[in-house]
Amino acid sequence: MLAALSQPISLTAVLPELLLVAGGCVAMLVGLSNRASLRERTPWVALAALILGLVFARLGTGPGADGIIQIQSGLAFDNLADYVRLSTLVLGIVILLVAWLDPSDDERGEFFAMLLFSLTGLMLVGPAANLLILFLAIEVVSIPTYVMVIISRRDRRSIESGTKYFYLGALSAAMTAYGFSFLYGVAGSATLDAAAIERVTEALGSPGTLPHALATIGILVSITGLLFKIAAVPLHWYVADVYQGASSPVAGMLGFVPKFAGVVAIMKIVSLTGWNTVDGGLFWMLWLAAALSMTVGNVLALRQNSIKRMLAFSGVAHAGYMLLGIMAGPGHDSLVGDGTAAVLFYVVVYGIANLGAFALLGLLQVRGAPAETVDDVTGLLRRYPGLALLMALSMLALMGLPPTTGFWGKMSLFGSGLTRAAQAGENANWVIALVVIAAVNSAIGAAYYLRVIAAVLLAEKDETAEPAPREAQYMGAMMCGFLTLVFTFYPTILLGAGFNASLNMRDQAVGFMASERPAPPELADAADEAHAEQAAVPPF
Amino acid sequence: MTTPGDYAIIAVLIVTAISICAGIMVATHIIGPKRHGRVKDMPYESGVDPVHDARQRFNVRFYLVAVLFLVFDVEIIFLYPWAVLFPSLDQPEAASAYAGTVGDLANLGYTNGFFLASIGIFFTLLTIGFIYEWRKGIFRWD
Repeated sequence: MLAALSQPISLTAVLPELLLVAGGCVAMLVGLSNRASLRERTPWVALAALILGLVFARLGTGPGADGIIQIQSGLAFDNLADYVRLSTLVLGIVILLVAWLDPSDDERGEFFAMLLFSLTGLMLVGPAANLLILFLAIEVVSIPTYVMVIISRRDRRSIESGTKYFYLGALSAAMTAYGFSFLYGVAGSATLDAAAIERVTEALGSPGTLPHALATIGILVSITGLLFKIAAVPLHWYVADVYQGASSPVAGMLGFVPKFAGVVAIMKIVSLTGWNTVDGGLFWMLWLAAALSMTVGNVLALRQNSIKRMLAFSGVAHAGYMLLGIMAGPGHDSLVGDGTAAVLFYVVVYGIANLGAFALLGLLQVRGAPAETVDDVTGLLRRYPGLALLMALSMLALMGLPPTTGFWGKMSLFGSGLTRAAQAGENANWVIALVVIAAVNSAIGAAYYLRVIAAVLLAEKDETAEPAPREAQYMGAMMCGFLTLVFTFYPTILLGAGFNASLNMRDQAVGFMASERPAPPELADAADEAHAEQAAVPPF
Repeated sequence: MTTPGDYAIIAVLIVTAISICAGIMVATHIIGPKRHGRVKDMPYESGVDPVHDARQRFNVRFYLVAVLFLVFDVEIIFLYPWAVLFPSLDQPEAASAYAGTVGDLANLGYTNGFFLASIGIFFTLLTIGFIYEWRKGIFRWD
């Protein structure tokens, strides 16, 4: 316990999170006001909290700048924490804009409070350096999302999907907690520091002993529970029903917030093994989950007529690509070989593109009901060319067509997989096989994305969907398109940030890859390398 | 520092409680008179005759009251240890003698102001929850 408290708690370190919680409380009370004019201001309160949080997160000293982890009562403010917090706050603002007019008048307070609480949880997943804090942070992410799914629509279906999501989420949380208890037993402390990594790797390095069995069970069970959060096989069945039952903005949020939390949490658990992901149970688990997620997700998405269900199953496939990056792990000190940087990049650009698609679906109305099927958005180009192009851009980014963000993400993910294959020993061919499966799946995925693009851009229809007069939602959709364009032309901004964010994970992997790794890089060098990378890769 | 011997008194308590319960149940079973009849076999409902099956739909308000009760119950439970420790937190020397988190925090130089602020944040959050419940009309029965 003393080790966990070796640094004094500084409330200023978590000031952005505290601001979000305070904003959530105020939003809850404002949303209950008697005056309708005041109730309408609820999203402004949330926006103010997010912007203030962004300012303070940016002004903060960023203790991880020197790469040293300072564990303050279970929180370590390293580069990863910085990356998670900033991308959460920026995307949180976009999510807020997209969901601005989504909740009904009497449930605004709860809705925006829950949104802020969920984002707070995500911001705490980044710095979490203790199994307990990590578990609590994941729950703070999840529980508000259950409520948001239910209150996002006045519909029996939303209640059904929210209840489903809640029970399955509780099941997965129980699995995660059970796995964490094994890890606590093996590591001897809940703190995720170098000592814990040493003890877990030692246990994993001695097959046939009890600690080996316990550590393996702990790692596998906790990651299985977390697969629910990123909607990967085998815990992916809820995803289509939940996305369809929730309103479009909330479904778009579900593609980013829980996925990001799950990915970061899985990385933290895999870190405990010293990133030895290419042999033993962990390798086969990640391999199977990745391969099945891609294949099952894409095949099921092919068969959907509802765009929401299609995007939900495509999210399963994207979770598979992310698992490939996690299996690749932090690689050499170059951008393309680093699986963790690629995953951190991919989860954000996927979140943006996915949110953009859902924002447009929520915006478009067909005879008063939100658009949902491919038929609903057919022939959009002639009446609303801007919206049609935004929809096409989101779909192209999700598809991974060069040179969109999705392509840069997939390129770095597959590249990291191939880099890792070189170190995988006897499993090298299996790693390469997984990259091939991923490449084939990208081609399968193109089919259903192109169907939507063709319907939007090429097909003709007399009665097209009408956009609802919702300025904030327009703005949110446009911001998604803008961010996608920015990261399309300057992917190295975000990739470089992701590379810096995985600095500590590279250090944790150093014991395993000591022979291949030169001296630790300076931060400035990493940024330089990012530029060098940009020069090396032909833009188009 | 606690030793396993310190827990002996808890073991004595558990054993005593279980044996008293078991003893009373066994004793009534053996020495109690057994008379059966329609009235005697009826479930005891505080002297009121049961009218129908207990498994039926009941108003969701009871659930809300139960949740409300739980919230305040937890609040009180949380408050007790804090209230017991707080006077000693006034003197850092005394506080640092406590094992566990409180002692660690005191050793790090946290004063009672920190602990007062902590409970203040806790109460503020609960009060906001209370205001929320009030505004949502949970306290209105009809």
